[in-house]
Amino acid sequence: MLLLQTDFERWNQPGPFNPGHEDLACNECHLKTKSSVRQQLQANVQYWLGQRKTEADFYYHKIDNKHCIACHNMDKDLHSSYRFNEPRFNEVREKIHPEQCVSCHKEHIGQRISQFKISDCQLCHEDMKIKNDPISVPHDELIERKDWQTCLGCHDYHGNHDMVLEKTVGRAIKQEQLLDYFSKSESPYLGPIITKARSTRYEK
Amino acid sequence: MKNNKLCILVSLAIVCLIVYLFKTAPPPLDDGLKKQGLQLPVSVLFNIIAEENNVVRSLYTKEIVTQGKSAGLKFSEDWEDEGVEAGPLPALFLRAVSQALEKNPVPVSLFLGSDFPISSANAFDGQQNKVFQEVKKVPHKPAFFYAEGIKRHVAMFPDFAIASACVDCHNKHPDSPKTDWELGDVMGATTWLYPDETVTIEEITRTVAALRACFKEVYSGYLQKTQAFTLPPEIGDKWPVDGYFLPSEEVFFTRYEEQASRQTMRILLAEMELK
Repeated sequence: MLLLQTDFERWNQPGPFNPGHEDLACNECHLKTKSSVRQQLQANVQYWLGQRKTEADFYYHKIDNKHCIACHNMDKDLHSSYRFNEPRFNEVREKIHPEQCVSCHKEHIGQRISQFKISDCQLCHEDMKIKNDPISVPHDELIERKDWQTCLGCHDYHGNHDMVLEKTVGRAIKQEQLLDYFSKSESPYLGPIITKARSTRYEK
Repeated sequence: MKNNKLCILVSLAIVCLIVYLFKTAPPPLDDGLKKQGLQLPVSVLFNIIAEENNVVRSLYTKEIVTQGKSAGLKFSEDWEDEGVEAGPLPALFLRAVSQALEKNPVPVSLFLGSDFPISSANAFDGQQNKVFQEVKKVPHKPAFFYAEGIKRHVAMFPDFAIASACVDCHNKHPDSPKTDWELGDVMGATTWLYPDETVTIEEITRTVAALRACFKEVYSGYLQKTQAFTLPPEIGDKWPVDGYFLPSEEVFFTRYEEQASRQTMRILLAEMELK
């Protein structure tokens, strides 16, 4: 309990902040529940005994997408996590849980991406057909070759960079650069960021 | 002897814990799933919000997009891009609503899809496609099912080609996989999700209010954008059928609410009669 107090909470940090989050206070993500610890204990014991249908959050609210969207509210997000809640994404949900921001962006690991593999695009785009394909090597050929690293070479997953898409596949961003970006490096995508993250959820 | 002592201590601890947790504890926390008041099946909520959606979609497609095109307004896939002087196509209007809905605390979700979508990212698959094939069959009844994987109740409602603008755009689009759409065809479906099997009148009211707020947010975003056009349309009480005008948010939603509220009350009252 002592470690949960404001003055000591940094001691409780399970690992380094991910890039861009270094200056955040703990209460940007870890929001305290309004009920008392005793009520929460009571509710959870009742849940374990089958007397209650839902679990109660303990001390802090569980982290969900709304915590992330409070600062990362991208209006034009090409892969909004909520869209993966649609029934048709059952298989991909079971594999990588893209419906939750923290599946790919686990915090306190000191890097930008925790789980997403470059080849994961195939989980949804394996059957993609583009009628008037404008790029130098058509998408269906890249798919046939299983050249999955080329996807993110041209497309930014969340579509949050204002850029003209590269049409020459040979000029796509290379895999090593992408992996560095997944880790800690600055964005290799050209063009400015469309929606900048808010520096605090409490900003008006 | 030692064991006896331990037994007594453990028993005492358990008794204290029970007293602490249950006997002298503060009021229990609200269990999100225990609801007060009349319980209606979630299909009632789905029918209401699908009808609300049909009204706004029909009004926007026929009165804003179809009439607006004749009056000189433009509508495009890239409407949000800087420098593009256009408004959202009907499907994109609803996509924006769906996005706005996710940011709202009500636990309802909306998706648009088809078996012949312009963007392959919107293609139905698996169970959803099977259900859609049933929805497509005459008499085009909506389908309701429970999706275990996401623990959500699901409803799929047919999405008809209600105006020539729908048919023309989809038939002429270079990426459209089907180019022989006709008026009245089922072009796709709207899919709605809700977590609970039953809903209260309060939950229905909250959800409809949230949906209407999202419609307003998207429509007012479009109106705002038109004011940066080289020739901004006049916003007021006139509609595109009168010329290069757009109805203000209030005028648009007054007409919308007249139709939608009537439908919503009709569904609710019919359900109450059954109770």
